[in-house]
Amino acid sequence: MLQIDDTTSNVNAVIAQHGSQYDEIYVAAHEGSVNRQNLSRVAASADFSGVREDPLYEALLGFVERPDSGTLARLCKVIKKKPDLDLAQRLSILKHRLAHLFTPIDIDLQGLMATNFREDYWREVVRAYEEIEPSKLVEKAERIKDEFCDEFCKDVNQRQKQRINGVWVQAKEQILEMMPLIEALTGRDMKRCKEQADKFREAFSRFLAIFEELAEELAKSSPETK
Amino acid sequence: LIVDDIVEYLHALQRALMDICDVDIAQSLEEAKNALSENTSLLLVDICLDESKPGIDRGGVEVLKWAKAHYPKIPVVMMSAYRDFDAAVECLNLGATKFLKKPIDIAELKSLVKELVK
Repeated sequence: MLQIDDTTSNVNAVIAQHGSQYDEIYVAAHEGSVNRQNLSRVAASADFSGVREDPLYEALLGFVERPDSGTLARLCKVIKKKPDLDLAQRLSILKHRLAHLFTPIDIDLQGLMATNFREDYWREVVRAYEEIEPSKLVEKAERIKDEFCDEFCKDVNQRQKQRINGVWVQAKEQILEMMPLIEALTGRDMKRCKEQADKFREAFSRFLAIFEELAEELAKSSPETK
Repeated sequence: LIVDDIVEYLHALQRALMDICDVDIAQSLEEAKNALSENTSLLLVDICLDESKPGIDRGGVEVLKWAKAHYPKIPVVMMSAYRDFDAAVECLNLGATKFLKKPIDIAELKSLVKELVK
């Protein structure tokens, strides 16, 4: 573990490195002094891993290779710079997080339909859904939307908030359309699953299309989306 | 070998392809490095390997670069949920065989796997 104190700007950095290369690097850069008794907590709260194209990773490597006040200042500047996401990117994040809940079901359903609900495949699939409660999925989707709004939409204007809420209302309608199939899967009801398969896939497709259409619309009016 | 950060997605793809091949899974570059070998016949990688940065993170490109540097003969198919033309071009320039848009069409994927693994 290495501690760098830059007394000129009262910024400290703590670095912990594990592995032979830069596989795991933990950095805390902050103003004020470091209480060494809290080092493990500080390091754990600042863990970071990234790709070389990431400006943060680049600044981090620069600092680790040549730790001085210049590279530390550069690192602090990059860490403090918040990502500037436009509305399309924010909605893309929401779409991605929500889609994670249903994409595996869509894949399993495609597999089941392609094999005409072959018995061994069916057993494999339903085993994966034993622990899932359909109502919890809807709650989880709601929670994702709420967390998304808290995390990403604090600074958006009223009109943009209305658009995000409008998209969510449409998306939720489609989620509710998908639920009977999910209930059939978790209830191991093959007959109902077959009946609901097309309806699920149509609703999932519309669910994705809602975000795609809005993304296209936003791309066409890009100055407004910032 | 399929590389994606969403474990449920990996397991669903594993089930979907179980009839035609054995599927190993990895959730990160490090896991992919450990799982890849000369016996790997195909690598399927999602571009984004950090679900907190969808459309921004390109950890999958690092997997592609590493695989091409160490196992150049293994075909690599990239996947993305985003209409990212630049990423697709970059991946193809780095040696990816194909770029698939999520949600994946399983019939198309099976046909591609059969073609590349034969």
